[in-house]
Amino acid sequence: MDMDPPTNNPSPPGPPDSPPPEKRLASLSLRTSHLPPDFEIHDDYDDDDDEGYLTAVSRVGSISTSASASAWKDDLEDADVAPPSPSSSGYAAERGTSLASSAAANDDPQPQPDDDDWPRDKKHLHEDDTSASWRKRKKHFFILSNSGKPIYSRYGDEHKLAGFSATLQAIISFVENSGDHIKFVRAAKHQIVFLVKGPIYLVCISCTEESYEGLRGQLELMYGQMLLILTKSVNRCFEKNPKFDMAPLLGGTDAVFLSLIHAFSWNPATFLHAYTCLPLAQSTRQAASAVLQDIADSGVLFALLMCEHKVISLVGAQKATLHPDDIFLLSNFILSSESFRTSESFSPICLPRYNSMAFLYAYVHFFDENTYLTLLTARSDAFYDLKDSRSRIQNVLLKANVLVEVQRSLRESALCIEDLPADPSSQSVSPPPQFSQDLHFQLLSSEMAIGGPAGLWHFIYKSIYLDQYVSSEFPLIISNPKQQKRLYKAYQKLYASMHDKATGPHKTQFRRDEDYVLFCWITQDFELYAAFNPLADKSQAIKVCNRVCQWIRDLENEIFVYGESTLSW
Amino acid sequence: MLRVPEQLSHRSSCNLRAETHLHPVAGLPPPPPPLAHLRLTRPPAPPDPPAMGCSSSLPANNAGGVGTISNENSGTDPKNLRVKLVLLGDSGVGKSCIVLRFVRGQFDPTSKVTVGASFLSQTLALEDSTTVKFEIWDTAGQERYAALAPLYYRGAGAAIVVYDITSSESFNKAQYWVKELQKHGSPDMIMALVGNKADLHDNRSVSSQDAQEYAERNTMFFIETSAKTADNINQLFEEIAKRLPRPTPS
Repeated sequence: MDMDPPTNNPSPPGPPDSPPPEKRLASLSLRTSHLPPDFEIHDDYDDDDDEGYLTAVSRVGSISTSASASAWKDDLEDADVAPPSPSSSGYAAERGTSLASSAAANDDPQPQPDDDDWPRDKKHLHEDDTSASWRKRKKHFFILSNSGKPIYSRYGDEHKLAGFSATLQAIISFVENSGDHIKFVRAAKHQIVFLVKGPIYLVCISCTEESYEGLRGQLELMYGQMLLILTKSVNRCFEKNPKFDMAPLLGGTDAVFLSLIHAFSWNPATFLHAYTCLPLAQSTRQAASAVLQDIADSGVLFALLMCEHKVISLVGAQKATLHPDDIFLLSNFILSSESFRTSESFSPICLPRYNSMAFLYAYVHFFDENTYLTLLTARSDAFYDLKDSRSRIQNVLLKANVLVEVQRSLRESALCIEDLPADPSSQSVSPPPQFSQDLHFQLLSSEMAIGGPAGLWHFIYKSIYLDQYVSSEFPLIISNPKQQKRLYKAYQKLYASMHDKATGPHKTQFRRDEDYVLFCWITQDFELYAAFNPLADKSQAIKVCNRVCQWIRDLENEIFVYGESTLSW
Repeated sequence: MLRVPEQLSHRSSCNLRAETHLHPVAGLPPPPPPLAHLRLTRPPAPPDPPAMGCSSSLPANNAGGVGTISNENSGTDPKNLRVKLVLLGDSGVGKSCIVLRFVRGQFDPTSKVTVGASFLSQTLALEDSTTVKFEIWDTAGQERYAALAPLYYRGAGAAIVVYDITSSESFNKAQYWVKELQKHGSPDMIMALVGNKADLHDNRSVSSQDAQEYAERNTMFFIETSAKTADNINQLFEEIAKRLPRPTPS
C-alpha cells in the first residue's frame, strides 16, 4: 500500500500544465509491482459489511462473516423497511413507553392486540447484552443518564440494558472521580467512544475502524438530534431528580435515531458539516427564493424548501443564520417521521445550533412525496399565518413550475464524471495515448472500472464560504450501496486525517490503497475529496482535480444556493 | 352525508394562542413534574449574536395573553358552522386513524407516530342543511407533547378524548385529559369520550358500562368506534355537529 502522509504544503497543486508542486509526492508514483498479482476491483469481501471500513489489516483479521452479514441486513432494514416504532395513532398500541412516566416505569407486558404482523422490532427488542447477536453488532449507540439509566440504545430494549448502562456510567464516573475525562477506550478491534453532555452520556461501541473524531462527531449529532426533540432544558429534569427516567420522553422517536445512524454511512453532511442543494436552473431557484424571502420578511424566522435531504432554497429572517447541522438534523427528523407526510402539521422543534434551550414552532407541509416546506417561527400562535404563507408559496411555486423542475432534477443525474469538460488549456498534453497505455495494466478490471478522465470515480466538493457541498453521481463501479458506504467511510477517514487537530490542518493528501486512490485538497475556499481508480496516475489525477474545480465554478449558479442571510457563521 | 373537500387555503381568525400561563394539573396519572421544564413557549434570546432575529417575534407571545382564542367565525353564519376540534389521548389509541377515517375514508394499519400536532379539516353536511366545518387538531399522544396540549385545545369548541378499549392504562390517561380539559378548556366545550378499537372486543379491558358511567358523570357523550372498520366514526362527528350550539341569528 502506497500512502503519502498528509502534508502541510501551503501551496495547492499547481495548474494542470505545471508540474505537481510536491516533488516528494510526485516521486511516490504508482508501483504496480506492489499490487497483488491477482489484483482486481473486487466487491465481494465486505459486501455484507455493515459499517465497515475494512482495511487490509482488519480484513485479514477476525470479523466473522455471519455477524457482519446480519448486520448489513439490519442496515438495509434501517433504510428501507423502517416502519417507525410503535405508532401513537395506529392500531399497534405500544406498550410501556406511552403513558406518563409514572406508568411507564411499570412495564408489565400488557396483552397485545393481534396486530403483530408488521416488523416493529427492527430494533431487535428481544436482544440484550447477554445475547450473542447483540454482542456481534458492529456499531452500538447508547444514550444514558449520569445516574446510569438507559435512555436510548440502537439495538435491544433499553429496559433490559439497565445493567449495561450502569457499567458504562461506572466507567465514566470512575475517570471523572480522578478529575479527568474519558474520551475513548480501545479494546482489540473495538473502540468505545464517550461523549459527556452535562447529565447525559453518549457512548458508541464500534469495530468499524472509524476514527475517534468521526465517531465523536456522530455522537455529537445524536445529541443534537435529541436536543431537537427535547431542548437542552431537559437537563433541569435531572437537576430536580437525578434518577429521572428520560427514556419515555423520547417515545416514538426510534425511527428518527435509526435514520440518523443510517445517515452516518451514506450522507456526507454528517461529517462535512455542510448541506447540499438540489441542482436547479438559476431562474427556477430564484423564483422559489423570492417568495420565501417575502415570507421571511413577514415574521418567519426560517423558511426552507427542501427535496429529500437537499435544499432547494432557504432564507432566514434578518441576521438569523441556520447552521448546516441544524438543517441536517431537521430534515432527518422530518423525513423519518412519517406523520408529516399525512397532513400539514405544527410542532415544537429545537434547533440546537441556533438556540439549544428553546423550542421554535415548525409548520411542515409536503407538496409531494419528496418536496416539503418548513416554516420556523418563535410564535406559538402563528399556525394560521403560516398556513396562509404556505398557500401563497405554493401558488408561486406552481406558477413558476418549480415543483415540476424539482422532480425533473431529481430524476436526472446532476454531476456525472463522464460529463467533466476537457480542459482546453491542456489539450496538447491530453491524456488519451499515455492513459490508454496505463490501461493495459488494468485490463483485469472491466471497462467500467476505469471511471472518468484519469480514472476519476467520484468526488465531493465543499465550498467553505457557502457551507455547501456537491458530490458527483456514483459511477457503475460504485453502484451498489455497500460500495458507496465503503467509499464514504474512506472519505470520512480522509476528512478526519485532514482536520486532525494534533497534526493538521493539512492542505493536500494523496493516498493509495487497494480500493482507491484518494486525493484531498483543501484551500481557503473549498475542500475537494476525490476518489480514483487505484491505478490512477498521480499527476493526471491532480490535473483532473483542477478541472473538477473549474467545472464546479462554471456550474455554481445551478448547484449552490446563494442567499443573503445564511452565509455568515 | 356529504363531504366537501378542504379548500387549499382559507383565512381564519381563529388562532392558536401562546400558552403563557401553565398551571399544574391534578389528574390521574399525574403529569410528570419534571416536564414542566419542557413547557417552553417562549424562546429566551439566543446565546450569541445579540440580534438573532427571534427576539423580534417575542412580543407576539406576550400579547397572546389577551382573551381566549375561540372560534369567532362559528358565531357568524348559523347555516355554516365552523368549529375547532381537538383530539387528545394516549399514544397508540388511534387518534390519527379516527381522523383519517373521517377526513379521507382511509385506514392505514401501519400508521405513524404523530409529531406535535397535525391539522386537517373536513366539512359535514347535516340533514337540516347546515354544514359544519371541522378544523381538527390531531395531537401527538407522546408524553413530551403533553405540556404543549393547551396550545392545541385552547379555544376548541369540541374535544374528542380517545382511549383504546383493550388498554385500561389508556382509559386512565383519557380521564387525565378530561380533567385537564375541565380545568383549562372552554367551559362550553362539547366533549366526547371515545373507546376506539371496538373491533378488538375480544381483548377488551375497559367495559362499555364503566366508560358510559364515567362519561355521564362528566357530561360527555360516549361512543365506541373502530377506525379500522369505520364503525361509528361518522356517527361520532355527526353527534358532535348536532350538539354544537347554534348561534341565534340577530
